[in-house]
Amino acid sequence: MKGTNLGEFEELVLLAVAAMQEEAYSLAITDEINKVTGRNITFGVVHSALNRLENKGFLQSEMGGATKARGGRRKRMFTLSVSGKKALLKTKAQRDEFWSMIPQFVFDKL
Amino acid sequence: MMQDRKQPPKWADRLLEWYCQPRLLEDLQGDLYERYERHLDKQGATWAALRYIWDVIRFIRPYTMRRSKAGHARSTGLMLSNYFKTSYRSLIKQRINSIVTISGLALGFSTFTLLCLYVNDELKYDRYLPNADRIYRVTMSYTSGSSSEHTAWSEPTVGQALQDRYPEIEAHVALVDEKLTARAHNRVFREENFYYTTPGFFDVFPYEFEIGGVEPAFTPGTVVITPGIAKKYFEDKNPLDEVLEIDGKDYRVSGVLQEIPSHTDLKFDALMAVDDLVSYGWSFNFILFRDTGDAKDFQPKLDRTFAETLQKEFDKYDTKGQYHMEALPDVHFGTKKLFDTPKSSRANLYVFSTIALLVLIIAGINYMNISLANATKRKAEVGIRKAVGALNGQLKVQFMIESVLICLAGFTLGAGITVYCLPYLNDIVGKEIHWSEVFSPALLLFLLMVVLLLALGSASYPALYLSSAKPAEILKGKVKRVGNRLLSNTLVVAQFTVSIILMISTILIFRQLELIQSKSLGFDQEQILLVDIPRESTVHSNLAVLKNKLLGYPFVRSASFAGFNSWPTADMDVDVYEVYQDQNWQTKPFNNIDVDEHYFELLDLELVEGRAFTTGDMDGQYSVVIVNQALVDNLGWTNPLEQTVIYENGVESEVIGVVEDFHFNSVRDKIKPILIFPNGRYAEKLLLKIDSEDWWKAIELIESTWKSSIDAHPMEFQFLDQYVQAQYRGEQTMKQVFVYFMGIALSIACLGLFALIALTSSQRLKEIGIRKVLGARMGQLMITLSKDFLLLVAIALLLAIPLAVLGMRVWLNNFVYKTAISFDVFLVAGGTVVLLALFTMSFHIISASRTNPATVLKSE
Repeated sequence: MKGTNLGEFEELVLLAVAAMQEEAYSLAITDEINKVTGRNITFGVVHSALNRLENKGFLQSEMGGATKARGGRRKRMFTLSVSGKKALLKTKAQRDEFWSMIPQFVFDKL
Repeated sequence: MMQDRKQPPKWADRLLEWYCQPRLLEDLQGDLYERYERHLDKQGATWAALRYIWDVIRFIRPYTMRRSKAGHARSTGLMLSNYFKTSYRSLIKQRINSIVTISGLALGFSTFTLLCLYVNDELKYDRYLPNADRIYRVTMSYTSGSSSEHTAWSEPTVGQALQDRYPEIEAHVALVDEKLTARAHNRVFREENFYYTTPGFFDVFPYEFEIGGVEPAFTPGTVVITPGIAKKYFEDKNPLDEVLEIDGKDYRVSGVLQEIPSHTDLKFDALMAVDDLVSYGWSFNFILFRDTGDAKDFQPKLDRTFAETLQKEFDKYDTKGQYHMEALPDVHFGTKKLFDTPKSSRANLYVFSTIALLVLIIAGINYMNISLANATKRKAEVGIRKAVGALNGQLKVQFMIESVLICLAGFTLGAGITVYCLPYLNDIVGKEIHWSEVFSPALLLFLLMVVLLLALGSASYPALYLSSAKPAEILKGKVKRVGNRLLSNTLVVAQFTVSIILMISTILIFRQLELIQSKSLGFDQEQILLVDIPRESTVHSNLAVLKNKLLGYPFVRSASFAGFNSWPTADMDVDVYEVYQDQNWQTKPFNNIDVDEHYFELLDLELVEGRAFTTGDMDGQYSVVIVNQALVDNLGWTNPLEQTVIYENGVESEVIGVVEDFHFNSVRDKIKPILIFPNGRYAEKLLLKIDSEDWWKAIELIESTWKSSIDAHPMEFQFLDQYVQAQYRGEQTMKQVFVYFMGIALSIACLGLFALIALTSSQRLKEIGIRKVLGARMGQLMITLSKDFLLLVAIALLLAIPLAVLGMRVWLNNFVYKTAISFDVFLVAGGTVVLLALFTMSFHIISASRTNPATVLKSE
C-alpha cells in the first residue's frame, strides 16, 4: 500500500487486536471479529492478514500461553505496535474530518 | 483424559510440518488443533478430521511455505531463464540434431494421434442413441448336415412374437430396404436406402425430429424423411403433409428427422410405415429390452420362441434353425452374415492400434537415444557449471527443462501435422473426423503424459550421471560417454526390431491384399454394364421389348437378365434343397441364383461338363439346374450329370451342367456351392456386354432407349468392374493406410540412426584422422565405422523375424487364400533396412573421412 493507509479489513483486524489486549491470538481474533461484525470471515483470511500486518510492522507478536486443547503448543500473541497505533489514528482522523464536514440536514433528508 | 481424545490425522499433521515455515508452525498448528477440538465437540470425529485436512491444505500459501535457503528462490528464477537460454542455444547450435529429434517426435505423435482418431471413430459406431445398449438385432441361422448359413434377416414376425411372450421386451421393429422409385412434383429418382418399417421404429430408435414428431404421426401410410431427401424432393418447401409417391403408392410426409449421424451401418434416407412386413418373409429385426441386464439370459427364451413358432416348418425339411441376437454396438464388428449391412473388422482395428503404439514407442526410443548421445557432447558445459558451483539438483532441473521443451516442441509440431493430414486420412478411409477431435481432452492428456514421461525418462539418466561425476574428471575428459554402451545399443536394437517387424508385416499385408485383388474371379468383368431393373410389373412387361431394341445396336454384344442377387454380389439367396449324398437323400441349404440363357456366355463362365441353358429351359418350370464345381466337390458327386436336386416345394431339377468355380463373394472366403436355375422372369438386373470405342455415346443411346420403353423410372446403372472393385474398398483402404504409416515408422527409425551416427562419428574424428594418416582408404573407414551398427541391425533382424511371423500368422488366418510367408520377404525387409541404415550412415562417414587429418589432430 502507498504510505500507511489501511484497508478496511486490515483496519478491522488492527482494531480487534487493540481492543482485545490479552489473549489476542489468531483464532480468538477471528472469533472476535465475527462476533462484532456478524460476518463469517474464515480463519485462514485472518491468519494471513495478521501475518501481513506483522510484516508491515503494524503488529508485534510473541509466543506464550500453551493450552491442552492445542496439543501443548504455544499461541502467538499479537499486540499493536507504535506504527500500528499511528496508522489507526490516521485513519480515524481522516474519517472524523469527513464526519465533521457532513451537515446535519444531509442525514435528516434521508 | 487427553489420551482418550481423538487426534487429527497423522499424515495431515506431517504434511503441515513439512511445508510450513518453522516460524509460523507452532502457532498455526496449535490454532488448527484448537479448531479441531471445537469441531470434534460439535460435529464428531469424522467431520472434524475432514475439516482438519481441509485446513491443512488450505494453508498451503506462499507466506506459510518453508524456504529452504535464504535467497534461493530468487536465484532459481534467475537460473530458470538461464536454462531456457542455454537450451535454446544448444538447440540452435546443433541444428540438424534438433530438427531430427523434434521432427521424429512430431511424426510419432501425429501418427499415433491419427490412428487413434481412426480407431476411436470406428468404435463410435451405433453408440450414439441413448438406449443403444438395450437394442438388439435378431438374426437367424440354419444348419443341415455339414452346411450352415447365418442370415442377418429373420422372420418379420419375430419381434411381435417375442414381445407377446416376454415382458422384458419393450418394443420391436422390422425393417426391409428396397431399391425403388420415388416421385414428388415431377422429381423422380431411384432410391437405395428407403426402408419399409413397422410403426414401432421410433420406440426402438429414438431419433430426433426436426419437423413433425412421432406421436401419432408415424402411422401406416406415412413416411419420415431425412433432411437430404426433403431438400431433394421438396427443395425449400416445408415437406410436412406433402405427398411422396414411393413405388407407385402415395405416402404422406409426417416428419423430417434431424441429420442422421454417420456412425451407423443402417443408413436410411426415408422410412415408410406399413402395418407389417409379413409379405416380405424376411426383414431386419430389432428388439428393445426394458433393462440392460435383460439381454443376458435371453437366449433360452429365443430358443423357446423358435420352438413354438418356426420349429414345425423347419422339421419338415429336416433343418435346424436358431434365433441369435447381437447388441447394436456389436453389429458393426460382428462376423458378416448373409444380407448383412457393411462391416468393419475388429482385427484391422487391433492391427492399427498396434501400429499406433509401435510408432509411438519407436519415436520414444529414438528420442531417448539421441538425447543420451547428445548429453555426452554437453559434458564440458556440465563440468564448468559444476566448477562454478552448480548444485546437482540444478543440473537435473536444467536437463529436465530442456527435455520438456524439446518434447513439447515435438508435440506442438505433431499436432500441427495431424491437423494438416486429417483431411487426407478422411479422404482415404471415407470418414468425417473433425479437426477439433485432435484436441479432445482425453487424447491431449494422454499425449501430455507421454511427453512428460519421455522428458523425464530421457533427462534423468544424463542428469544423474553427469551431475554425480566429479567436475575435474569431466573437464579432463575422463568421462567419455554418457550411459553405458549396453543401454544405448539395446535401444538401437529395440528400435530396429520394431521397424523390421513393421516392414515385414507391411510386405506381407501388401502381398496378401494384392493376392486377393489379383486373384482371378473366374468371370469376365470388363465392359459390362449392370442396369438396375425396378421391381414392378409394368416394367417387367416391357423388358423383352427393351432388350430386343438394345440388341439392335451394333455395340451391344449380348444382354442377359439376372434374378435376385444373381450378379457378383456379396449376398446370394439361400434355400433348402434335397440332394443325394452318401447313398442318402439329405436336406441342405445352398446358395442359388436365377439367370437366363445368355448369362454364361456374357460373363464368360466356363462349363466343365454338360451344357448351358437354352431358350427352351426358360419355361419357369425349373426342370433343369446347373451347379458349380464347389457343389460337386462338396457333395462328392462322381456323376453330376445324373443327379437331381429337389426344392422344398417338391419341384425336381435335373443337373445338366457343371460350371467352373467363380468368385461372387469376396475372395476372403472360400467359394461356396451354388445352384444356378434358369429363370429370366423376375429379373433385377440387366447385364449388357458393350463393345464400343465411345462409351458415353453408347450409354446415352441405351438411356434414351430405356426412356422410350420404361418412362416411369430413371435408368440406374453401374460398370461391373467398378462394382466389383467397390466390394474390395475396405482392403484397398487398409493397404493405403498401412503403407503410409509403415513408411512413417521406418523414417522415424532412420532419423534416429542418422542422428546417432552423426554423434558417434564426430566422437571418433581423431581416430579417423590417425587411421587416415596411417594410410586407411575410404572403403576401409566405412567398414570400421559402420560395422558396429550393422551388427546391431543384424541382431534386430534376428529378433524381428520370429515375432513378425508369429503376428502375421494370426492375421493371415482371417483369409482362406493366404500368401506364403516366404524367405524372400525377410530378405527384402532385411535388405531394405540394412540399405537404409547404410545410406544414412554413409553421409556422416564420408564427411568424417573427407576431413583433413591435420585439422582434427592439431589440437589436443
